Amino acid sequence: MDLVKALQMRLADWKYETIVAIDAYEGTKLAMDQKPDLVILDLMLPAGGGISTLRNIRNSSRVRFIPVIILTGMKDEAVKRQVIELGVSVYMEKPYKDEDLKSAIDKCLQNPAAPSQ
Amino acid sequence: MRIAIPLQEEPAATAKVPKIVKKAHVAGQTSWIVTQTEEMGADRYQELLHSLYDGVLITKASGQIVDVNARAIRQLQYDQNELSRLNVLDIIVGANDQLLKNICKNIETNRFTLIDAYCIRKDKTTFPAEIATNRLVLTKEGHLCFFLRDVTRRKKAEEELIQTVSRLKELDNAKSRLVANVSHELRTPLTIINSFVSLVHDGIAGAISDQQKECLATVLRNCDRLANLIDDVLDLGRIESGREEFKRRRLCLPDLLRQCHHDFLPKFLLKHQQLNLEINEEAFPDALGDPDKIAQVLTNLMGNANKFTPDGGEITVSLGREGENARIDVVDNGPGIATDDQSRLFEAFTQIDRPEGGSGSKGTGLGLTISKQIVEAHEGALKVESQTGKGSCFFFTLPLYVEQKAFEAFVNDRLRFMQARNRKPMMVVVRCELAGCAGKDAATDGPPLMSQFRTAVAAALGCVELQTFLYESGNLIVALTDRSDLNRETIVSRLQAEIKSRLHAGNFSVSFACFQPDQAGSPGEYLARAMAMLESLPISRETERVKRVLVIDDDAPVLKMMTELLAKVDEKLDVRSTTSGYDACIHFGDWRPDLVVLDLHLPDIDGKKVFQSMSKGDPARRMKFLAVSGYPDEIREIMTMGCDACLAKPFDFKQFVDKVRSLLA
Repeated sequence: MDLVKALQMRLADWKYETIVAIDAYEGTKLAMDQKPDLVILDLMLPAGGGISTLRNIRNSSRVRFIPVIILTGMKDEAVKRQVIELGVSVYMEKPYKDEDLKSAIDKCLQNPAAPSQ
Repeated sequence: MRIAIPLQEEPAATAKVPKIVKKAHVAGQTSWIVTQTEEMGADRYQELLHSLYDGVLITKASGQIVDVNARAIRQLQYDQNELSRLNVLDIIVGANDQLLKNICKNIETNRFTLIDAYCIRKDKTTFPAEIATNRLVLTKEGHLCFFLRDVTRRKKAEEELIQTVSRLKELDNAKSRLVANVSHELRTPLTIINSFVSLVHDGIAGAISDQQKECLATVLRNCDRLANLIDDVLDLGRIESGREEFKRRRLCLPDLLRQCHHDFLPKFLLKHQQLNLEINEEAFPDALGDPDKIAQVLTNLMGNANKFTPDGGEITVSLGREGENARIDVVDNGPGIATDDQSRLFEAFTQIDRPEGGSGSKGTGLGLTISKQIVEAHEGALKVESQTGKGSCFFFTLPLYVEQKAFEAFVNDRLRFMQARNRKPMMVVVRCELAGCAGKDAATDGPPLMSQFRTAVAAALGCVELQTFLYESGNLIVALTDRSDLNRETIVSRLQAEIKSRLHAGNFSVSFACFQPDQAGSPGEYLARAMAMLESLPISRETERVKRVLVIDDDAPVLKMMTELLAKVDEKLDVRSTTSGYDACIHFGDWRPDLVVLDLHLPDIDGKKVFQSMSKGDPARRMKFLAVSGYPDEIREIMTMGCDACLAKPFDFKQFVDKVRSLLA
C-alpha cells in the first residue's frame, strides 16, 4: 500500500494521471471501465493474483491491447514464463530504479502494442 | 598356504536382506585358503579354524553346515551339534537358493563374495554381519566357507553418525531459511523507505533546502548499501543451499569479456585508470558456464580492482588457458594484499583494511565469497596472488566446453535445483532421427527441423531449459521437468500433439523415454537407462496436412468476405481470423499457418511489424504472406522486406482466389 502511494506520487511528478486498484478484481474492473493507456501490475495481489487481472485484460476484446508493465517482487520462473506468454510489454522485478521504470513507461506509450518476448 | 584379503571396502547396507556388496578377484587360480588335507594335518586345520577372529562356517555346496569354529558358536549361540543340522541359509535373514547360486557363480570365475546381511541366533534375535564366502577344497567335492563378522558396534556407530549428520544438515537448513526469510522481509520496508526518501529528496513532496537534500542523499546512499547487503546475503544463501539455479551452457568468453570491458570502462575512466583487455588467442574455444553468473564474478573482480587501485592505476583483464581450462586474470597495480590477509579474503564479511585515502563506498564483504562459490559450482577455482605494494592478481578457471560435460552439468544443475526445492524431477529424453542427417550435430549444423523439434518438446513439457546433443544415430533432446501434472500418459499425448502441430511433413521418427531419476545415479547412468527404455512415439502423419490460413484484417465485413472466399478455394482449409495484429503475433505465431493474409492497415500494430514478428519465428520461411492494402507505397515497402505476394485494395474475388491458390500450392 505504502509503495503504491509512493509510485503514484512519482507518476504524478512525471505528469501521468493514475488510478489505483488494490486487488486483482478491482484492477480488472478499473482496466475495463476506464481503459487506461498503461497498466502497471504487481503479481502478488489479493483476490486472484495479478496474473488473473492480466488474463482478464488479454481475454477482453475491449482492452486486450493495453500495454502492461509487470512490477513485482515475485521471483518464480514458472510464473514469469506464464506471464510473458500471456503478453506483457515489460517485466520488472522489485527493487527497481525509478529511471528504469520511466524508460519502460516511455517505451510502452510510444509503441503501445509491441509485445516483448 | 596363501592368504589374500583384498577386501577393505565397508559395506553400507542396512537392509534386512542379504546383499552382495562386493565381488573381488581371488589372487591366483585357486581358493584363498588352499587346504590340502594331505599337506596339512587335521590338528593344524583345527588350530587355524579356531584361532580365527571371524566366525567360520564350512558347508557343502548345498549350504549344509559341516564344520564351525568356536567363534561362530558364540556368535550364533547354537551348540556345535545343532549347527551341523542346519543349512547356512537358515541363519541368514532372507537368504534363499539364489544366494548360493550367486556365490557358486562367483567362485567359478575365481571371485569371492562379500555379503551384507543379518544373521539369526538360536533365540531368533538377529545381528548385522558381514559375510565373506569362498570355496574351500577339503575333499574332492569341495566346500563352501563362510566367514562371519559381527558388525553390530560399527553399524550402531554408523547410524549415530548418519543421524547426527542429518540433524546438523537440518539445523544448517533452518539457519539458511531464517537468514533468507529475514533478509527477504527486510527488503519490503527498505524499498518503502527508499521510495519516500527519494520523493522528498527529489523535491516532489515539497521544496527542501540544500542542506536537507544532502542529508537525504546520505540516507539514500545507505539505503542502497543495505539493499546490496541484503541481496548479497540472499545470493549467498541461495548458492550455499543449492537453491540457486545455474544454467551452464556453451559460453564465448571473449564476447563476455569484451562486454564487461565495455560496460566497466566509464567507471575506470572516472578514476583515470587504464583498463586493458588481453585475449591471447584469436579463436578462443568456448567454455562451459552460466553467462550471468560468470559476468557476476567478473563484475565483482573488476569492481574490486577499480575500487582498491588508486587513481591513475592500471588494470588488465586477460584470457588464456591453463591445461583443460580457460583462465581469466584480473591484475591491478594497486596496494596489494598482505599474505596474512589473503587467506581471510574469501571468508564472508571480511573486509581488509584499506590504505589511507582508499576511495569508493564500503562493500558488503560478501562479494568474493559469492564469486568463489559461483566459480566452484562451475568446477573451477578462484585464487589470488599478491604482494604488499606490488599489486594483486585475482584469477579463476573455468572448464572448456565438452559436449559430454555440458550434458552432465545440465543434468546435475537441474537435479540439484529441483531437489533443493523438494520437487520431484522427471527426466524426459526424446530421440529424433531425421532422414538425411544421421551423424550431424543438431545444435550446429542440423536442419531447421531440429530446432522445431526443440520448440515442440519445450512446449509439450512447458520448460525452456533443454539440452540437445548428438548421440549415436540420432539427436537427443534431454529435459528435466518438475511439473507435477505431468505423467507418462500426459507426456506422450502432449508430445504427440505438439510435434504434429509444429512440424510440417518430414522424414523423421521419434522415440522417447521418461522416468524419475533417483538421487544416487550419475548423469551417464541416467542416459544409459533412458537409452534402454526408449520406445517409439507414434506420430500419425496424414498424407496431406490440412493447410492453415490466418486472416488478419480489422474490417469485419472484409474479413467475413475473405473467410468465405477461402472456403471456396478449398473447403478443407483451416481458416482462422483476427482483427488485431497484436493478437496475431501473440497467439498465432505458434500456430504456424501456411498462409497469412495480412491487411497492412491495422489499428494496433503496423502490418509491417506483424510481418517481421511472425516471419522471425519461421526462419525456414514455410509461412507465406499475402499483403493487402489500399496504399501502393505500403505495398511496395513490404514487398522489399520479403513478403511473398500482395493485392491492392480494392481487388476482385478472382484475383484473391488465384493468389491464394498459387501461394498454397
